[in-house]
Amino acid sequence: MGKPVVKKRKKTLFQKFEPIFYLAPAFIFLGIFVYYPFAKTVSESFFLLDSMGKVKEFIGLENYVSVLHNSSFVKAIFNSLKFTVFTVPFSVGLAFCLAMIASKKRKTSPIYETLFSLPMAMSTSVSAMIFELMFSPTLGIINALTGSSIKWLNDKDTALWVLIIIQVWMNIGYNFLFILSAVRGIDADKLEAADVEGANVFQKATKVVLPLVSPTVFFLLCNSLAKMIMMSGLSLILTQGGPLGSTETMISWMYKQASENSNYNNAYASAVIAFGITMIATIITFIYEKKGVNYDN
Amino acid sequence: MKKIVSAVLTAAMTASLMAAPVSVHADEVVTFDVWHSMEGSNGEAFEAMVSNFNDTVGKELGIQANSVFQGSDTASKLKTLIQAEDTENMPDVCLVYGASLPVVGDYENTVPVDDMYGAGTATLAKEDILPATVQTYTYKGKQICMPFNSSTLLLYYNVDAFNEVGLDPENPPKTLDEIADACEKLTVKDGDNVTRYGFNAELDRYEMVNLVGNQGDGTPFGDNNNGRDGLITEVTCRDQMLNVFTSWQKIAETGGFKYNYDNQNEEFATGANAMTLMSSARIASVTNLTKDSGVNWNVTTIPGIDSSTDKGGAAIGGASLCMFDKGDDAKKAAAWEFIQYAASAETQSTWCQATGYLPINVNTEKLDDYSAYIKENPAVQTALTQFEATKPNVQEPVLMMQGSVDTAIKDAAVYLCEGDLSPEEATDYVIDECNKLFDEYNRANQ
Amino acid sequence: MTTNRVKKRSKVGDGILQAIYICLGLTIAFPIIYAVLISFMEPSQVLAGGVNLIPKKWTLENYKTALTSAPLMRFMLNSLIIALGASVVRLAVSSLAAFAFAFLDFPCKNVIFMVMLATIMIPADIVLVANYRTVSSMGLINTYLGMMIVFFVSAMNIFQLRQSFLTFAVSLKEAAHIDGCSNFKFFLTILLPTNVSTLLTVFITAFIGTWNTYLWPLLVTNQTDMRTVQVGITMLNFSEGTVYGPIMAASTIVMIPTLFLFFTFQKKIVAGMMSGGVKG
Repeated sequence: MGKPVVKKRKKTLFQKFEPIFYLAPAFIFLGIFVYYPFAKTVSESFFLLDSMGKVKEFIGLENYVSVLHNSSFVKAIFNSLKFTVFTVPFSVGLAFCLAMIASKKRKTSPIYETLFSLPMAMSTSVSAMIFELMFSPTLGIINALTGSSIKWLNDKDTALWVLIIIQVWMNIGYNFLFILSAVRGIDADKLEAADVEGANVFQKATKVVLPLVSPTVFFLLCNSLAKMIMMSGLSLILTQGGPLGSTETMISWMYKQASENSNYNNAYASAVIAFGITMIATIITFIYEKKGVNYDN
Repeated sequence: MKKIVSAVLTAAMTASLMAAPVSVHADEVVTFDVWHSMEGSNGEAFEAMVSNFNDTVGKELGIQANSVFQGSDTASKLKTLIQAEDTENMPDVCLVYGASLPVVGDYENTVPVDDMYGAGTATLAKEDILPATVQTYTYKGKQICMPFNSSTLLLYYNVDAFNEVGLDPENPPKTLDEIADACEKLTVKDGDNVTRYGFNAELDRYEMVNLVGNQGDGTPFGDNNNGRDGLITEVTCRDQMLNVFTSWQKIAETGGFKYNYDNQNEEFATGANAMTLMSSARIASVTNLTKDSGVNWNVTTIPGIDSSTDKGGAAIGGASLCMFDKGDDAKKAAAWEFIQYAASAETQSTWCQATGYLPINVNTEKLDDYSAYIKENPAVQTALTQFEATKPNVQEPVLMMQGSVDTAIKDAAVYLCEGDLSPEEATDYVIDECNKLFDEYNRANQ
Repeated sequence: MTTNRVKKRSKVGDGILQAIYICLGLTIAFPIIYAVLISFMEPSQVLAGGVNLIPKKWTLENYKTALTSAPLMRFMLNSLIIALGASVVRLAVSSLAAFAFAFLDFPCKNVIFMVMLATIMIPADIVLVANYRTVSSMGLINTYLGMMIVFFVSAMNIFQLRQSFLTFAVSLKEAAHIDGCSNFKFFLTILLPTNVSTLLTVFITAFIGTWNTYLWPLLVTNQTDMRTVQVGITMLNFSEGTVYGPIMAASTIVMIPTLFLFFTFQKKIVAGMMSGGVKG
């Protein structure tokens, strides 16, 4: 930046305000459709609200105390975390493996690249419906193939795992596409250098490729982390949080409080708590960015 | 920069202009909006009813209904509009489920149909409507909505399986304990593997309300006239609930009881489960499915605890039409004409034959085509008999937190079936959870 | 000789490898293939259970049902308009912001970036009523603009583009400046063209995201002819029974535009984030 540019002095004021022009469109939309309504949610979470969300009286932290004493919400927090801990690494990790497999261009590359990334084209509701049929204990192809009689979505011990499998599947195409394009962007020289040094496939993947695609992987981790902690779609469509609360997530709980229970006291407080938890998780990821992400490839 | 912004704005404006709704207010013809949540073939039947209205009564009176599908739950959309105080975009008529009665009941622009009887062409009287269904949609002393599509809970049973194990299909179980006995006999096992379950049912809020309500001369779930005169403050059916859980445990102990639903219709229709509890609205689906499988089946009234004293009947399920005042009297009058048409004996007859719902107009049965339809469908006759015999005090409770009430009952039933709770503990669990929910809700909504 | 044999062997090995990869791909895509197969099955076969993959009798009945019970084609057009509109605007808005975060210096940049990023942690459902109120007070109910306006910005896309821009060599930007190139000109003529594949990825993900949304477009429209395809699919549902066939048929139809987009741009996306030349 430091280099003198012609007519620098004249442009100073403009340069000072220049970033605003680039940022304004984004922040105007974010302001109207995200910050303003969320600020309202946060402020109203300190009030007693009636079944239509109308403010009645200030009650301080009571909504938060009540939500955190609600055993079903506490369970939902742990379910969300468990769901995240398994979906994020698996969906990014598997996608990375697939991208490594597909990194070299071959004659049939377009075929399997497309097949690997296809899941991203499916909407949550349709994916849920297909997997529901596949996992159906009586009609489903999975029990028919394996000869088991597991109840899958109807068993409190397996239901969350089924949702994890479906979610990993849904994420894999998206993550694959990103990592593949990053891997393809790596300098061929650097990979060749690794070959010359006699690195095996595993070493090449972790020691050479991974650092080089770290900005993309970092992005995907942040992206999946926030989305997975706040997952509600599969749970609301497939299990409604059951059996016995085993698939209730923070946001499915929040959603049900608002839509089924008309309880905005619980809904707003739990939304803010979910926000806080996601924030903490993201900050932890950003600490990792400082250490592990390398932009100067 | 400027260019891009202006390009974006122009594009956006063009898009919005392109999309600006064309108002088709032709002279004299009054159009009004009807929102519904009917999917699949029921949606087609609903659209057919609306276009029939437009071609007949609508044409005569110069009013035209415009029907719009609003997702499977119109109430959540209504709630959003009410919360945003967006009267302009409210519909004139909306199909709402019983559970949403308080949403429309407390809304200032709702026009209770009670206030409309006698208005306009006055082709419909309150006496034409089955009293129990009127009671279903009565809130704080007034009938708010017009019942439209109603159903009742039934016990479906496999006649072939009954014959096979020596049970009399003419004499199906009348109590939960008899279901337990039948369930034991009907269950077929291959080693430890159950190849045919005797009975398949989930004990959720709706099932519990029915099994409790049926006891004695009808038992309400909560106080304040089941929430219709004021907020429910406590569960008032402890003994009856305990009866249900006690018998439910007997059923679970037979080892041939499947206590969750996978593909309820299909499993019953293919003979995988010999008995099940389902809404009468599924008679048509089961009829279709069994055409392929060849299974013979029948339905009977919901079980009681003691068949000699339990005469309450089954709580009425389904949805109703409500109307809103948007400040236009012509539209309000048109909305009422539409509701009268939808609740008329003739419309109910066509609608119920197409969908399998039960007619809410008491004159429907007198119509030749409907009585012929019932003769051909004995299962519908059973449903109708139970439906009409239901005591008006047997109702679903009016609860704005019914999601959590449902979860509490469902969870207690699963714990019971898995042997983790005794019937007493299950009852206490449900009552504690419910009363907690009532307190929490009532605190914010007194 | 030896090198020839090695080459031959590796060629055979490569062929086997490709076959394995395609099989792997088929396994991953199996649920989608299964859905398409179901859309051609008769209902009795779907409900027979067991391992039942190939339709016993191929039927187009499900497609007929899907196309007659909902005006799917009109819904496709609506979805196409809002998905294209939202993605194009989002691309413009996001790349501008990403440029500022990647290349410009301004006070509190990191804080502003975090504040921007924090929006991805806000549960979308909780702001629904407030956003409805805003959009309805703008008079945008029953308009395409109202249906897409909430999708005009995504912090994730800004983040994604920033990541891509950051790998762009600062030295090149400085070189451009010395040549008298303004920031905006640099952005438009140098940065964007070299990041085409990331821009395409953003575009496709934005398109698919908007294409697949259900709740918001349903909320802000009250006319059947303004409905989107996802609402169309639910119209085929039937609460009292299971109708896999028509729903899978509708889903297959609805997938076609996304797949088309996919095939068209896939080559460019996976060609690499940036061509090697501009890398530092």
